[in-house]
Amino acid sequence: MTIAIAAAALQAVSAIQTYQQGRIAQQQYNLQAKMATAEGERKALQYQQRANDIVRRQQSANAALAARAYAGGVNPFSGSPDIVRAANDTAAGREYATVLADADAALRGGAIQAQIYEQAGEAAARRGRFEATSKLATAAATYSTTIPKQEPAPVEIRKVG
Amino acid sequence: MAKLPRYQESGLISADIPRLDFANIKEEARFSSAVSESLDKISQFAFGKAQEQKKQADKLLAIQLRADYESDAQEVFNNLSLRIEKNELSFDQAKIEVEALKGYARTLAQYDIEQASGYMRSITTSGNALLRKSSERDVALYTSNISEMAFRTAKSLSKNLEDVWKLKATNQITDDEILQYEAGARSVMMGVAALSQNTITRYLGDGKDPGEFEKIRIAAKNNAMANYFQSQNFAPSKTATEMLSKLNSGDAGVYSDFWKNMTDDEKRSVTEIIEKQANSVQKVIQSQYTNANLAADPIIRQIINSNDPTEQTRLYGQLKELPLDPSKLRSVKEYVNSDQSGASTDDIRVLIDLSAKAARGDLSVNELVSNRSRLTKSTVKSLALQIANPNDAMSESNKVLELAVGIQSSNLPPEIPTAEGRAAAVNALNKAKLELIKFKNTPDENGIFPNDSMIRQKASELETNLSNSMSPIFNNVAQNQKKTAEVFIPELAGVDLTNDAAVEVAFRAATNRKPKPAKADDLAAARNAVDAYRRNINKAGPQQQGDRLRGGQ
Repeated sequence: MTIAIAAAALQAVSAIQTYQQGRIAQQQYNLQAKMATAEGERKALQYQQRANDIVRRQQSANAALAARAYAGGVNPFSGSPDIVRAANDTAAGREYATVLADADAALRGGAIQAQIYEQAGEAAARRGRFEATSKLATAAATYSTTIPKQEPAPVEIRKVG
Repeated sequence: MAKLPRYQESGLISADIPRLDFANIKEEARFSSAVSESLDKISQFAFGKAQEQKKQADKLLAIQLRADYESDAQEVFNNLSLRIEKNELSFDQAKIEVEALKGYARTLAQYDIEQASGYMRSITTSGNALLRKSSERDVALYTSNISEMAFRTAKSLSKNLEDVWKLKATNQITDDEILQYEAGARSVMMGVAALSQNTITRYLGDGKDPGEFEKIRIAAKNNAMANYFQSQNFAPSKTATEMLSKLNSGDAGVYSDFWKNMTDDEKRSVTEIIEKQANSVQKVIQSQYTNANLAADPIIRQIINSNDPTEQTRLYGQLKELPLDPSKLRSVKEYVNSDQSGASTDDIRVLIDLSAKAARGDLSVNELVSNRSRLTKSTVKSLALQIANPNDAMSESNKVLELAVGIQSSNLPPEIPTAEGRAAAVNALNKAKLELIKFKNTPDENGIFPNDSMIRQKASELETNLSNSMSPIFNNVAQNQKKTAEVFIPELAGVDLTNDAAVEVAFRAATNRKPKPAKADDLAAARNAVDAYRRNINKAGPQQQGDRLRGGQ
């Protein structure tokens, strides 16, 4: 009887531990989620910086173009300089859009990953709760099978022959 | 012209799609796995519990079923046992029945193996007992059949052996052939008896007892020899004297060789047969004479009663056809041919003697005829009638029996006042009379019928029994008569009615009674009652009289 109670108690302790493990896992996942978000933002920031570089180079190239045009006595905003300037704008613009998209993707990726991690954390916690409950139920069932049962009264069997 | 400044592309391309860590899917998978595992555990547990519960329920059911099956089986075993006792069930049939009962174990096994095993053990034990009983019955039947067979074989061999020995009397067989036949017969007996040890011991002996077969063999030999010794070939006179005389001298005719080798005991066995058979013949002859005498008695009576010599001669002719004792026939012939006038007066001594003998039933015709010259003709006829008519003894005996039950005359009922008493008396009388008739008509072991003396003695015994049986009835009648007497004459109360003096004192007191003396009618009625009391108390017998004397009135 005592052993049965001890066994049940151990099972209960194990159940508690399992529950706590689930919560710890959830916390870990939540942390990972945050890290994913941060990583996405960081990458987005990098892309933003690169986009800024693109703009600067574009402006630099256009400024140089304008200066040369001016220097040559050409209107920088028409003729070949203008065409070059448009080409410069187009190329820069293209690159700029790409970088912005990458930044956006990085942000979105980070958010998605974070969400995934959060979901994983919830699943881990749920698993922990379920396993703990299951352990408790098993402990109760096992305990109930180990306690002495009352045997049915023996039936009197008449000898034959 | 100088080249205009251009925007230098950095060669950027779109970043790759970031690789995602689908941890949620992994966790979900792990969760599902945990759920599945737990469900498995729970279902196993539940299933185990359910199984256990089912097992418990099955066990209880099996216990009940076993009890029911064993109860039914007990009834079946009882019926089978009865059928075995009545020889209505063979061993094989019993075995089939037992196997059929074992089949129920398979049903029990579906619920509980332990109960099924217990049932099987129980049925096997009872079944073995039943089969053992059947087997023992079969053995007993077989053994009794062997005994029956051995008995019939022995009986058949006995006759055959005797026939073989008899062949020797006519020299149709040699001594060696007889011995060979005996050996063969013994072998046959052994062959039949050998089926059972008990039968062997019984018929072939065990060292101490030679066995039935040896006795049969010796008896067959002795009977055949005795038969020969009593034949005319051995003893022409056919008398036991001649037979025994020759045997004592060692002459045994054709059996001489065997006779000289027989022991004295064996020879005595043969001579005893001869003597016994000789006596038996004499008894038969005697019986024939006795029956003939009974048939002759009425003829002799007619001869003596007749005064016509021609008639007497004719009747004598009838008498001669009967196998009478020759001496009796001679006596009657002498009577017929003699002077039958008789003496003028009876010789008293002879008369008394012959009368007494006639009364006892011991008077013979010879004796009467030899004394006829000393008696008158009428006396001779009278005495002859008593010899020739044993019915007188019967009529006298019947009279004695009637008196024992209070019948004074054959045509009157018993002198018993109650109907039940009269019915009891008549029944008892009829039984006694029937018994007497049966006694008269039943010969003894030697074939001889009872004579008058024996009939009268039997009647006396029956009378005693009748009196004893009637005693309570007569006593009852006597007591009623006593009460009747006391009614008429109260002074008789407490008086011993068999004491004349005491009775007379009572009557005188009644006569002198004041103020009202007894009437004459009352006195007469009382006297009649006293007389009736005395008659009945005497018939009741000494016991009742003793009771009376002791004051048990």
